[in-house]
Amino acid sequence: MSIEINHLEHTYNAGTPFSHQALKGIDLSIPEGKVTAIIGQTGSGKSTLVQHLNGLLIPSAGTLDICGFHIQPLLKIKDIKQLRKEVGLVFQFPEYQLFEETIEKDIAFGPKNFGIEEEKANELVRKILPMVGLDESYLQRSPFELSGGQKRRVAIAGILVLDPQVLVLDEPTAGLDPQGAKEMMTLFMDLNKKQGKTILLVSHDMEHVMRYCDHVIVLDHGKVLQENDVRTFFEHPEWMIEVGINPPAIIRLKMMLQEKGFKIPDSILDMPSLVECIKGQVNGHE
Amino acid sequence: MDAIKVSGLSFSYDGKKDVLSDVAFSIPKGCYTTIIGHNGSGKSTIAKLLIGLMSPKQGSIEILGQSLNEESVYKLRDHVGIVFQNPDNQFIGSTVADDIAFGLENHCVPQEQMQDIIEDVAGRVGMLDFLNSEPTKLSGGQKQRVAIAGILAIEPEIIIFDESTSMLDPQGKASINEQIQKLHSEKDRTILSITHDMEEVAQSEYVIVLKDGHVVLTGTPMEIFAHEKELASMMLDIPFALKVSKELTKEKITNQEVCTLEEVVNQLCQLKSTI
Ligand SMILES: Nc1ncnc2c1ncn2[C@@H]1O[C@H](COP(=O)(O)OP(=O)(O)OP(=O)(O)O)[C@@H](O)[C@H]1O
Ligand SMILES: Nc1ncnc2c1ncn2[C@@H]1O[C@H](COP(=O)(O)OP(=O)(O)OP(=O)(O)O)[C@@H](O)[C@H]1O
Ligand SMILES: [Mg+2]
Ligand SMILES: [Mg+2]
Repeated sequence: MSIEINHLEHTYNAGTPFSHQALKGIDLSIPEGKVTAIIGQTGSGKSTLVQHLNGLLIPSAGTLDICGFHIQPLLKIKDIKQLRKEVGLVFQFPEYQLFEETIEKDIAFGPKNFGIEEEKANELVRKILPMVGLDESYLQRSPFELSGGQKRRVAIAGILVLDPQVLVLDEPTAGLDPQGAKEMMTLFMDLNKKQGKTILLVSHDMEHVMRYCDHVIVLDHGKVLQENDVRTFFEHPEWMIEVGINPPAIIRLKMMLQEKGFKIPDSILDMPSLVECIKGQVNGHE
Repeated sequence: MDAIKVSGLSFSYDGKKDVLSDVAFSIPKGCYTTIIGHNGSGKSTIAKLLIGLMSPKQGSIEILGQSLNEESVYKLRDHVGIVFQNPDNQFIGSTVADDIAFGLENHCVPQEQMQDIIEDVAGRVGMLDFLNSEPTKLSGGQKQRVAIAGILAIEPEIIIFDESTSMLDPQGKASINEQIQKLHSEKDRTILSITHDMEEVAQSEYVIVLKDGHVVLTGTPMEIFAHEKELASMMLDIPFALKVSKELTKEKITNQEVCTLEEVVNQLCQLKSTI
C-alpha cells in the first residue's frame, strides 16, 4: 500500500502571534517498497512532514493514509501504538529519542512496550547492536554518555529493533564517520531489497540520494517543488541549482569541466565513464 | 606563537578507561586545522578540554602561550569560542536575537553596536527572518546556523567548530564554509574544525587524525590522504576529487594527484586538446 498525502498543511503555534505555517498543502503518493528521498533547504519542512507519518504531528488540514491508518485534523488516531509499530521514525536529533538509563533498556523499550517479554527483547537488542556498529560492551552504559555518532547509532537501533514495515529516517547519517555512514546506508538498502521495507530518507547528502534512492521529492518553503525518479533528477543539474541544492561532487566536477569547454553528456553519473569521456579530450589520448 | 599547544594529554570520564591517551599537537596561530577520526575517537572530548569545560587527567594545554588552568580559564575563554556538536547545548537566549546578544554582552560590546552586529551575522547565515524565533523551536539546520551566527558575532581568536555544519543543506554548508574560510583568510583567526566531511578536510591546512583516543597521523591533507587504506580501516575516507585524481593519474592522463575539484579542473584544462 502506498502512502497517500492529500493537501496536508501544518501550522506550528496556530492562533498565537508565533504561528508559523511550515507545510502549505502537500500532495504526494509515496510508493511502497521503494526508497524515497526527501530533500530541500534548511527549514523547508522535511522534518515536519515526516513527523506526520507516525502520528507524532497531526495535520492542521488535509489527510494522510498510511499502512491502513487514516490521519486527519482533530481526530485521535485509534491504536496509535500499532501505527508506531508499522512506521518507525528515527529523529533528526538522536537526543530526542534516548531516555533510558542504559542502552540495553533504551533499545529494549520499544519491543517490551509492544508486549515482547524482557528476555526476548534483550535478545533482540543483542542482535541489533552489531548491525549499527556497536558491541555488547555498550549494553550497560548510559545512552547520554556517548559521542554524537554513538548516540545516533543507538537511536537507529531503537527503531530497527521494532522491525517496522515503513522506515522513516530523518538525516540518519549526520554525524556518522564516513565508513559508518556507508555501512548504515547499506544496512537500510538491505532492509529494502531483502525485506521489501518502504524507506523514506531525509538527507542533505546528495551522494547518498543519487546512489541509493529510487525517487526524489524536493520540498521548498513548505511545498512540493518536484517529484522525480533519481536518475532523471540528477541528469538535470540545472534543476538542482534552481532550487538551491549543491549537486553531488561528480556532477559539480562535470559542470566545472563543461564550463571549460569539455563535452560531457548529462547522462554520465559515474566516475569510470567520466574518466573515459575526459580521456578522449586531452592531448596525447585522443 | 602557537595558538594551541597540547602535550601528554589524557582524559577519562569514568576514572577507569582513558578516552584520550597521551595526545600531543600544536596549532600555529592563524592556521586552519581539521580533526578527523571515527565515532567515539575523542574529538569532542578534546574540544571540551580546550575550552576548559573539563580538566585533563594528565598533560597540559597552552592557549596563546598561556597555560590553561582553573585560574586562567575565564580569561582565556574570551579568546576561544566553540560551536558545539549539538546546537541545543549552545542556546541561552529565548529568541535568536537574544541569544546572539548574550554572547556580545559577555564580550562587553557596547549596547548601541549590538543591533547592527546581530543583523549582520544573522543575515550572513540566512536567519534574518528568524530573529524573534525561539532557538529551540527551529529546524535542525536553522539551529546550526544560529549557533554559528553567535560565534561570527564575537569572532574570537581561536574558534572550534564541532561538526557545526552536519545538518546544513549542501548549499548552506558551502556558504557557511566560505564564511569560516574568510574568518581564517581575512581576519587571521585560528580555526579548529572537527568534521567527517573529507571535502572540508581537503580545504584545510593541517589535519589531525584520531583513533581510539590517540593521535595517529598529522600533516597536510595530501600527506594524510596518502594513507588511503589506513584511513578506510579507521572508518574514514578520502575526498571524491582525490579518487578521480587517482584514476586520472592511473590512466596516465595527469601525473600528479590532487585533492580538490578546482585542482583537478585546472590540471585538465592545461591538457585539453584544442581541436
Ligand atoms: N559524557 C560522557 N561520559 C562518559 N563517556 C563519554 C561521554 N562522552 C563521550 N564519552 C565516550 O568518550 C569517547 C570519546 O567521545 P567523543 O565524544 O570525544 O567522540 P567523538 O570523536 O567526538 O565522536 P563522534 O564523531 O561520534 O562525535 C567515546 O567512546 C564516548 O563513548
Ligand atoms: N516546534 C516548532 N515550533 C515552531 N516552528 C517550528 C517548529 N519546528 C519547526 N518549525 C519551523 O517550521 C519550518 C520547517 O521546519 P522543519 O524542521 O520541518 O525543516 P527541515 O526541512 O527539516 O529543515 P532542516 O533541514 O534544517 O532540518 C522552519 O521554518 C522552522 O523554523
Ligand atoms: Mg529537519
Ligand atoms: Mg563528537
